[in-house]
Amino acid sequence: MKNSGWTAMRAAAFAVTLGAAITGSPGPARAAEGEAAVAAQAAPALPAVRFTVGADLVSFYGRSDPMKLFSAKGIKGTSGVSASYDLLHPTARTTIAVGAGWFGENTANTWGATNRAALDVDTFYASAVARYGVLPWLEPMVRLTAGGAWGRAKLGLGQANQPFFEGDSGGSTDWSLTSDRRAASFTASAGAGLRLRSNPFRPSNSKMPFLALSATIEGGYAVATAMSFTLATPRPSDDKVADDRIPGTAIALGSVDRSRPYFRVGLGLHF
Amino acid sequence: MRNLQRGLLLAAAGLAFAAAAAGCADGDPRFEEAWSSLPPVALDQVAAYVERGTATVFLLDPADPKLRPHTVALAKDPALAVRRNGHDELLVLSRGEPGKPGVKSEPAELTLIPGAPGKHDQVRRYRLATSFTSLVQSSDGRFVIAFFGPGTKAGSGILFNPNEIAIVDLAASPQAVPVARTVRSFGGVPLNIVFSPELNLPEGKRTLAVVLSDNYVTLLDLDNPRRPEITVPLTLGTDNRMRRPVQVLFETRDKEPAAYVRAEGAQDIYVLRLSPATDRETTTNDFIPSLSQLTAGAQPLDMALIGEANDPRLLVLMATGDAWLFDALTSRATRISLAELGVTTAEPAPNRIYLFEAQGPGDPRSRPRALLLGQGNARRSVTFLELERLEEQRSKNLDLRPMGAPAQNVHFFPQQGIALVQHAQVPGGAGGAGFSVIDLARRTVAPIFASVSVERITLGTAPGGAAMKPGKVWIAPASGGGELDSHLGFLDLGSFSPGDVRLDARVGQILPLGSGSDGKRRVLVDHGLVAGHVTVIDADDPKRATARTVSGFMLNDLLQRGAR
Repeated sequence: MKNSGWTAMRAAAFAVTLGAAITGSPGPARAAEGEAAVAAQAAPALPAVRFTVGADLVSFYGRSDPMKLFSAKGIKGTSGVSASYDLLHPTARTTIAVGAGWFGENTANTWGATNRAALDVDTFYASAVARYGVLPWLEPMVRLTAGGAWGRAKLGLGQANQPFFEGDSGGSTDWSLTSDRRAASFTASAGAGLRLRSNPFRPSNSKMPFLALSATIEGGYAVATAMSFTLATPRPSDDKVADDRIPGTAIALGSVDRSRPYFRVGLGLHF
Repeated sequence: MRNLQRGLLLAAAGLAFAAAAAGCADGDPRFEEAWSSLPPVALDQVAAYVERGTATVFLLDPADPKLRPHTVALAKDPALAVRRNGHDELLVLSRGEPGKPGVKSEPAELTLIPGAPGKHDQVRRYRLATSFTSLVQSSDGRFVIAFFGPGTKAGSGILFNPNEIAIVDLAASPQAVPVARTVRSFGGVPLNIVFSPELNLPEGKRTLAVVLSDNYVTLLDLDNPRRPEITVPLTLGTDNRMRRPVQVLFETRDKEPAAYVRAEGAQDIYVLRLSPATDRETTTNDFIPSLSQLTAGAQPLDMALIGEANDPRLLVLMATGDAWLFDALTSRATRISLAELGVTTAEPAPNRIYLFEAQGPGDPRSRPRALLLGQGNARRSVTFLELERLEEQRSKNLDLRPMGAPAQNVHFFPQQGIALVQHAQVPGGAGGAGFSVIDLARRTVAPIFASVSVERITLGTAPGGAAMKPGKVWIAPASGGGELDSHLGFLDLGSFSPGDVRLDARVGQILPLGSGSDGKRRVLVDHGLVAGHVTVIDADDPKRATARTVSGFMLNDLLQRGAR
């Protein structure tokens, strides 16, 4: 409860600060009109906040036919974290940032009337962002990412969705079949959007660095190489049972194509 | 600034629309239908599984190290899968799809799939106009008849004609169309259909089908399926008693062959002698049946044709406990009293005849003999009957052996010289259940005790080569036996030595296969779970250490399998 209260307070403080930034109070942005004014009010007057850490909500739209095993609907929301560093300022209004991030995707579905399917994918990526400061608080941006995804498929079969072998229920063997190793895939994306950023501010404790808050919306398209799954019965948690088991042959479930459009909303803390 | 706001609003609206469109669920038929499989079928080298929801056959070759099945698409709603008699082929009867909103209608189909690896795709498909529920085939696998089996409650449409059948000649061109016709009815429906061997009929050797219905039988000339059927009533029109035909035997004489029909509720055996039709103007058939009856004054329980093809005798077991021998041509009857062997009248009569040729005790010559058993009744003895000179010797040809318990089920393996009698209760048996192994030549009855009830007994494939060995029978325990549920039992028919292999899941169907492409013979044990779960065992050296399993093999390539 204490944590959630603190989180709510922080969220409220962020909203107030961001709102104040967007409406122009405090700070010199309200008076700025035109390129000369923006240039005059830019970097020299404000402390630099080059590092960003953020939390992202990413929605993917559409699914390939194979993905229908794992997902009943064509929209999937995921969450992740990211960090970036403003590397270059080629012009007064332009910023080039580099970063890295992660998001996790968990989908689950019921198929064949009584069976379960689940897909857990972790995506790690490096990113490059180019932003252009139309206004001090408003920056259109383009973002490119490249990275890798590692996925694990799980199937529960039959009326009871039970493991194949008696005595295997519970713990890590609660599924009939699971990926015997994580399936890998190369991913890349390209997107464009807007970043809304507050002016840097220093919290009451003057020893703290200058901070800023931002919100980002972005739409784009992510491509990924097909992710292939081989499944086997999970290894029993009891080593004696596992070692005694008759050797099993893994099955090749097939592959899923995870290329699709996305929409990302991010909240960032800059310092 | 205003343009920017407008742009943002448009972008937001676009994203919202995209989200709504993408969020709609549009299912995939592959993943929507409930999965359920028909009982698996053992072919020579592969096991065939028919998955009903996706209408797919999975042919699993245990010689394939990856155990990845070959798939063949079927017409929708497969209802029955059997091995084609005398061929390494799978026969599947699919009922088709009557159609519904968003789903196209699809005709019923008979599908024939070769079992040899590499030939699975040489599929033959025969469209059927009606969604039948049952299938019967001749002993050589040439003729197949699809019909509505007893107990069919509803067809695929509003109405269905239970007397409609479709005849398929699988030896004809693959483009041949099944012949659909309705069997003449006197108020009954087909209970079963039996096929004759090739009979010497006036226009040449041909196969007949006999459709069994309450109080009448119908003869169909399968080589001339469009000729009218011949219906033979078993009762007079004024007789309300029920005669249910249950057994038909065919006499294959050079001239005027005959069919013998045993019916429940009748004390006679009906003889349909097929004489040449003299008046071809009134019938297109070249034969005409004449009906006569063999009477013994009691309910016949089983019958068998013995003797030479041109001079056959009909051996009949009666409810009185006697056996009768009828001369098929003269109807002369000879009574063989089992009571003369000292069988008490309290002992129920034998009700099954098993014919075999073997040596006898003190007789090195292999001669025709019969084993008489009471199956499903309380009889605790087995009777051997010498069939040579039976009319003269009568009861002197009988030989009685005691058995520890009544026979629940009988598994007769004449090639191996063995009959395996299954008992529900054996005095002294550890778990109550057990077997008696009857050596047909030595006439010994050896008990084998079982720790659990037995669900299923399957004869293994015989080892090939010059040195023929008796092989094994494989035994599946009934569920409820605790840990022993997952033990596969076997009995070596040469040494009568039992054994078992502990598996990791409950034993369901047992599928003994012939030699695979690598020359090894294997047994597949199906564990009866969705999407396929089998353990592969070396049939010649069954051990846990050399076994391997595959779970969910029907899911191989599931994601790439085309939606239908």
